[in-house]
Amino acid sequence: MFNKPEGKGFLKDAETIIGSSVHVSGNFNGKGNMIIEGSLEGEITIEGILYVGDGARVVANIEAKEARLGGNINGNIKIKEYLEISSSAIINGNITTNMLSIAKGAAINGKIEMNTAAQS
Amino acid sequence: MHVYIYDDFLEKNKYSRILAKIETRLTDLGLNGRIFRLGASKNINEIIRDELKKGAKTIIGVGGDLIINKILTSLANTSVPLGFIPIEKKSELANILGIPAEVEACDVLASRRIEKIDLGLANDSYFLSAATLQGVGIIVKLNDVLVEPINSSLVGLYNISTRLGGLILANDGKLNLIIDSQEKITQGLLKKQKPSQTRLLIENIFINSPNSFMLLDGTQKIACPVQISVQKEALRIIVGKNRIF
Repeated sequence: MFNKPEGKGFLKDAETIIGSSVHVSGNFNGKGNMIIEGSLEGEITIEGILYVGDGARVVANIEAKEARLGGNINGNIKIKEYLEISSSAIINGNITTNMLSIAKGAAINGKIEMNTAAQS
Repeated sequence: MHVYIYDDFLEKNKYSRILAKIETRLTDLGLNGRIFRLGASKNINEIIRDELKKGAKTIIGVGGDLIINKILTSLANTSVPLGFIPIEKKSELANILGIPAEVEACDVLASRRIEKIDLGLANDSYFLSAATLQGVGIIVKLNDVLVEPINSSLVGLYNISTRLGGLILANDGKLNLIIDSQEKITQGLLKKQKPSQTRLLIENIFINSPNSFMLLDGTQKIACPVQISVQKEALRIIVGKNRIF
């Protein structure tokens, strides 16, 4: 789960940080945590936690253990455990997760599938 | 046999007394050897290679942090360790390696505690601490990932450093790519700049910026484009017991 209030309690441990004034294109595979504040196009597959900031723009299919998503995201999202969608999020894509929290104001254009099989 | 490379700034008279003290202590410890001065020796790497062929046991840089880069290339991937006698009390490298300044550093040499550490290789030149490039329009490629800073940025590949809010290790088989830039934001009528930092762990990277140079360890310039890789455990270096890695 994410530390309150900023939700970036794991920042110091993040293996990859994409800053707000950087554009990245390509595929990311990794075991660590990742923070995106800028723009990214490609694929994201990580075994750790993903944090997408409120001003970020992401065009990518996403797979991660946990995630906090804000900003503008185009792509399908698969989260193994807990997904937190913040009020700034505009998501165009399907979501599969185990536990879900959606803040007031978030916009989701796509199907949401709760992966109850993973809970057992 | 030990070989001592004196940095060129040590030619100034104000250093003669401290150098005399260091030389006396080295003699007391049985560590005396040949001395070469950078100002007088045109091609220091050629001299070091000759000394290695003659059986030099240790190559020791005497001076500031910049001396290390100047003698690094000849020692990379050899079994001969690098020693360091810092003359500046505020040496970042000496702090990381746990080496006290000036005369006290001689005792660290005598203890001969050796660690293997990674080096960065930028085209044909090695660096120990960092390779940096400042400018606009910088292109960074790592495998199939392209990173493009939007504004003017400082792009740095860090191998060992304490300047970035935490210790970057030189024996983890990775380099830290850090891109610092200022994001331009508008708040009402006010235009402001907000710091933005990008960080990635890498092993190989390609960097290009038209008509620009990368600066290795703050001293050596190489022209772009630059291919950079980490050379795992490429340097044997004498460290103090108070090292911080």
